[in-house]
Amino acid sequence: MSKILDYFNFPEDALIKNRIAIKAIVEQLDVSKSDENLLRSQISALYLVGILDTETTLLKSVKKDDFLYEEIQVFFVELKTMSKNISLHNKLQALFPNPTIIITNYQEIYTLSTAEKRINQVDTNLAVVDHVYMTNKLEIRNKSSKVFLNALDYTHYQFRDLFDLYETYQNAIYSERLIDLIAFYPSKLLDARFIKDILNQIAIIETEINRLNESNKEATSMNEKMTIHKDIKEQEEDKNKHIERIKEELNNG
Amino acid sequence: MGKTFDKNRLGQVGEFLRDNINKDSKVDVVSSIFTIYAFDKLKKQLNQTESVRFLYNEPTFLDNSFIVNKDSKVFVLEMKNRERNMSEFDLEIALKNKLDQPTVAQEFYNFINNKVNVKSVINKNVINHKFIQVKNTNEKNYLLDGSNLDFSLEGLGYKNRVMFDFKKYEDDPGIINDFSNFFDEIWNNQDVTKDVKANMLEHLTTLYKENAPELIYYLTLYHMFKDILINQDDYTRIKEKTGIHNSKIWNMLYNFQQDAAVGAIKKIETYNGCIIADSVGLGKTFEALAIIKYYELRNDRVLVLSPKKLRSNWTSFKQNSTSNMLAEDRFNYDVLNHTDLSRDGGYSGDIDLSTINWGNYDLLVIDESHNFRNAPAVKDRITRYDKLMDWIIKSGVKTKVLMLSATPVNNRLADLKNQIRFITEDNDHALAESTNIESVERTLTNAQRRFNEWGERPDGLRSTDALLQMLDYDFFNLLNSLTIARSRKHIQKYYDTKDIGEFPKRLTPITIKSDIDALGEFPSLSSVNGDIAKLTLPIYSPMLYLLPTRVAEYEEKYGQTVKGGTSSFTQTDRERSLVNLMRVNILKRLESSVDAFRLTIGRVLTQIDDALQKIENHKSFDYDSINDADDEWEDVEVGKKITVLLKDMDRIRYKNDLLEDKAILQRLLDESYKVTVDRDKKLLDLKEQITNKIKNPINPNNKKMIIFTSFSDTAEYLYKNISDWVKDNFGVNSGLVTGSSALKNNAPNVRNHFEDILIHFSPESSKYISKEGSIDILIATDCISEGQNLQDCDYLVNYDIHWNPVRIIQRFGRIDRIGSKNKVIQLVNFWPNMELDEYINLESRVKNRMALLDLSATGEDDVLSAEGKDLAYRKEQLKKLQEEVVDLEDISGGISITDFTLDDFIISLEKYMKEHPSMLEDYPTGIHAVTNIPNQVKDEAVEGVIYCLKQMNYDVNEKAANSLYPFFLVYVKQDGDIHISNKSPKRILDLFKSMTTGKSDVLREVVESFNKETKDGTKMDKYTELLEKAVFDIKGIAEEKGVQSLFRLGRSTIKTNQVKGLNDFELVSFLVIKDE
Repeated sequence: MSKILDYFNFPEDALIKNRIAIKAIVEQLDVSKSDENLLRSQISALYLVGILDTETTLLKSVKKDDFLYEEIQVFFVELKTMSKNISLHNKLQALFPNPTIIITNYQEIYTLSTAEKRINQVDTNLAVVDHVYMTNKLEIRNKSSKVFLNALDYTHYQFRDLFDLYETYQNAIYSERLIDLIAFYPSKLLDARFIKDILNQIAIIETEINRLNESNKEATSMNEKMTIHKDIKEQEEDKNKHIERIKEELNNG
Repeated sequence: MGKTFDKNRLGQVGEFLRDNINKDSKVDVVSSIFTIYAFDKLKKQLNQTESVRFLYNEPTFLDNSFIVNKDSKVFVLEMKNRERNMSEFDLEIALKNKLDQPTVAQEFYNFINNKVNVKSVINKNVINHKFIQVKNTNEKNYLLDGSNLDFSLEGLGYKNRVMFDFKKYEDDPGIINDFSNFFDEIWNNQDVTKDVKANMLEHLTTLYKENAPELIYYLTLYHMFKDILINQDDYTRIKEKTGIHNSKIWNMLYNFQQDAAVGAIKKIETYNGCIIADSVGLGKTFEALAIIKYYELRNDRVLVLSPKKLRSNWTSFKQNSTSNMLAEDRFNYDVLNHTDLSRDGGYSGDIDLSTINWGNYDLLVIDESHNFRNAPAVKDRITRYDKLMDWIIKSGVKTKVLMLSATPVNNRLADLKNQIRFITEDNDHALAESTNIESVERTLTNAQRRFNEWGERPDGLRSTDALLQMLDYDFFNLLNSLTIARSRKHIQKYYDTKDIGEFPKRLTPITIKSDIDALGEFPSLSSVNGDIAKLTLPIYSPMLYLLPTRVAEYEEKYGQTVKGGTSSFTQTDRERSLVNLMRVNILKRLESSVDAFRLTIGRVLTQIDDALQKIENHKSFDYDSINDADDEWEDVEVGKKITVLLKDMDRIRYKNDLLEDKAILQRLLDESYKVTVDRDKKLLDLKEQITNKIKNPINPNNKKMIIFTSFSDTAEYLYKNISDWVKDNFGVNSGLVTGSSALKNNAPNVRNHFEDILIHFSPESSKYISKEGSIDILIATDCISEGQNLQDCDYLVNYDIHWNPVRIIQRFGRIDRIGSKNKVIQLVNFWPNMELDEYINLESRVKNRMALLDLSATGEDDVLSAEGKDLAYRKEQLKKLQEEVVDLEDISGGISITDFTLDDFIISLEKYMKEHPSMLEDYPTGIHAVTNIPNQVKDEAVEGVIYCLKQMNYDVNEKAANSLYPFFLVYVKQDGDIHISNKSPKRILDLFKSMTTGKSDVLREVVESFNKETKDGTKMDKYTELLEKAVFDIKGIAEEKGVQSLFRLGRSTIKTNQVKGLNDFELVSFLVIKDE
């Protein structure tokens, strides 16, 4: 467990190791049967491994109408399987209302997530999750992962407050998704929301390209194939434009 | 020359003193603290000094005469705190866990006594600096000073934490001389300082002297509950000002009832309401009357809502009548029936329901509040529940709510939910601030879930204790906050007998199995049952005969949604149930009396004839979905009128079924007419019982007997055939009380009024003086099975076995009461003449009525699934009832909220504190007592230790999240095994109480044995080991609290709840238990 946590280099006081029983979650939060099944079928063990608050970071907390950054919690999850990893990240982010970093591990593969949460206006003890930002699957021994993991080092940053700390980690964690696009982990952190927006658009384009490829296979006339080919090219150009936008952002400033 | 101490060196000051105090040293100390553990560290050196002068530089151990200024309260609090610091200084508290406090304290006492003069400044700011001066005859003298140079382990530098203090010492003779003069000047000035050695020594004795078990018990309670007491303190003062103590009702209450009344008032004031759930026979009505009086004295307007059959119980206390024992209290509350909530107009007593100002009541008292445990959602209709909530509680002035019920929980913990909603005005978060319970609903849902898990366990693992361990603290907290619930067993076991009246002894129940017909010609019960099972009873189920094309339209009209709209309950479902119910009803009537059977069959036949007539005349059917005259239906919300048009029905099938039923019923009716009074075997057996009782009373001269039946037809039949017979043969008068207004008696000068009959039947319990016209035989239906005090009587006959075993206990509760003049009481049950198994099976073949009762009352559809379980349960309970009279707590399916509340302890603590002012407040912690095991708990208690510990780092916000947190109680056995875990605090407290109550002196024998074992407290290793076991038991719980905080937005408490070991706890007290 400590392998990936070591990369974070969190202050000593922030480290903790508390096993959280699934039973406690189920009972405390009155989760639905299907969610309970999800938690029980996926999770082998769940640990709270870090608490980043004013005391442990000497950073101020931030409270606004919509959000509260008083304590950032870091959880480490040992998985039984990775079959529903995305759902699990989404669910765990929803269950813990504080800003949360979740790290899951299955054999040597890790995934990390953060989430944007708003205070639930009906019950201010709870939060509403707007977006979950999750990495691809990582292996620590991969070279590309190493750069990413180094970017998680707490001591590399100067945070203004706990909000800034969490935003920084959110951007750092989600920037991992760029490796697939630009072949390296960026030296500069981009806003996770911006990355997500681009990734969404690229995903739409890729779906369209796949569809066109399928049509191409079924097309019988040359004319038809030519038209499809042209469309595919256009889509690929669009995709490249988005990738270029990212590179531009990385080069700016 | 002066030198500074190296602040990075551990124990820098202490070690310096160790090196420089010699056997002829004279030491002067100026400090605000002098701890026993600092002494312990340097005791070798200090004991060899020639003399020590210790000056408290802040007022400490002063007599009250010195406390004159206007801030005296703060002054005293601060002073007491400094005095306690001697053994409870924050940074040394963990040392108490070595359990050597008494030994160290005794050595310290000897040291002070022999070597030390102690003075204290009278006022603050005379000498702010702290010094230690060591003067040696032939060697160097030293003066130590600096910030934080207290005579504590920390001040001496023995604490391993970063301190930014600056301490130094001088050996310059000139400076030392100057200091000596300065010190002497203050020391000798009697206007500035005062000798406090005697007071200090007295305080020290409390640290090492042997303590009485009772003191330790109350000290433990004090620490656990003092915050609650402080919160509620103001209300106590209000209470005394009202003059409640002078009222008649107050002075009539037993001590434990007064405790309940005071407790309830506090809860009502703090949380807006309270449920008194004391068990049957403990006098809830009287407790409530005292509470009502309190509010009336405050000019509050009070409404009592009671079941119709108990109305006169309440109205009788208002009347200006010689028969009202509380007339002088001039009660002025309004009384309405539960059923009045369903009415829009007309009069209830002298209250005009069309003009009543519902919103203008300050206090609402709901008698038998379990009737509101369900809040049915009924289509297009405002239910009683809705009306109560919206019109009385939520509208108009703020309405406080007092609820009374021996069974607020029937078979689900969630039964409490709807009753609690009255208190919280339907605001789920209402208790968040006062008790830290974020959601009442979630708390109860979680508790119910745990309860269900518990219910699914095999028999052997389904103990109450196991349940208690499974439930969350929030649930206990909720109950502690809102309920007062004591069982009779609990009061007998844990209250001193002088606080309560005597309960009569219950004799083993007499079982009588009677045939129906003395000649044996009437068909057997099982054969009649076979006939009854064949009945289709179309008169109760015309919807089942609707033409298929018409069904949807009728269901749309009469169906109802339940469970907040997630499920529906159709009228045809209801009718099917009703038919089953009627079959059961007919059978039960036969079981009750042949006359009731006859009358019912007669009525059904009339209805059949009527229906057949309507078919002939082509009329439509109007009928109530429940329309039997059974007394039990009185408080059940009945369905509305259903109209079915004949043209929409399959008339041929309907008519055929009616005719078939008619034939069966006519045959049964003919048979029943043959069983005349002189052939009625059951009646003859009853007469034999009466004769026997009158001739051989079980208590001297007591001829009184109550005969209960479920059916008013049977009651009237019995009265008709018993009253004259018993008068002629024995000169004894009889009375008849039923819910359907059949009130009769044959005593001279006694009116046929409900109260008159009851008063003349049980005059002493009603405090009625005149003995004229005494009634000895009372025949009654269940209209008096709840809430009546009839304990003059000592003999109760159940002429028929009620479907609900709880009802049998409730009936018996009328005579099984505190303050009964009878030494013994007898229960007699008439059973059908067959084996119990056979009887139960017979019933089950017809249908399980308990489930049906709930069904018709609530409209909930899930109770049917509980049917099988209920049958098994009922069988078990009925079997038990043949052998003994069990308590209600034991019979109601294993749940009783009396198991869950800690209120009793708080109340008894208050009483103790009143009797021993300031005693507990001034007492140190970490002390212990040794006790033995009294006989009444021999089966539960074992040799060992009960430790009370307080978690040192805890989050104040979580403080109220459980009733004891941050305190923990653990009962450890001698061998180190946990006897009772910290998860069962109530069980430990119960035992704690029973092992210490009344032991206000030290138990010499066991104490000597303990002292021998521990070499007078110097060898406490074994007990420290047991303490470590206790801490291990707690660890999980403390961490669990932290985990729960992760699910709330904001800072969690998981870090503060990290428990590593012994040093994370403060030892409050421990009770050593010896079985000698």
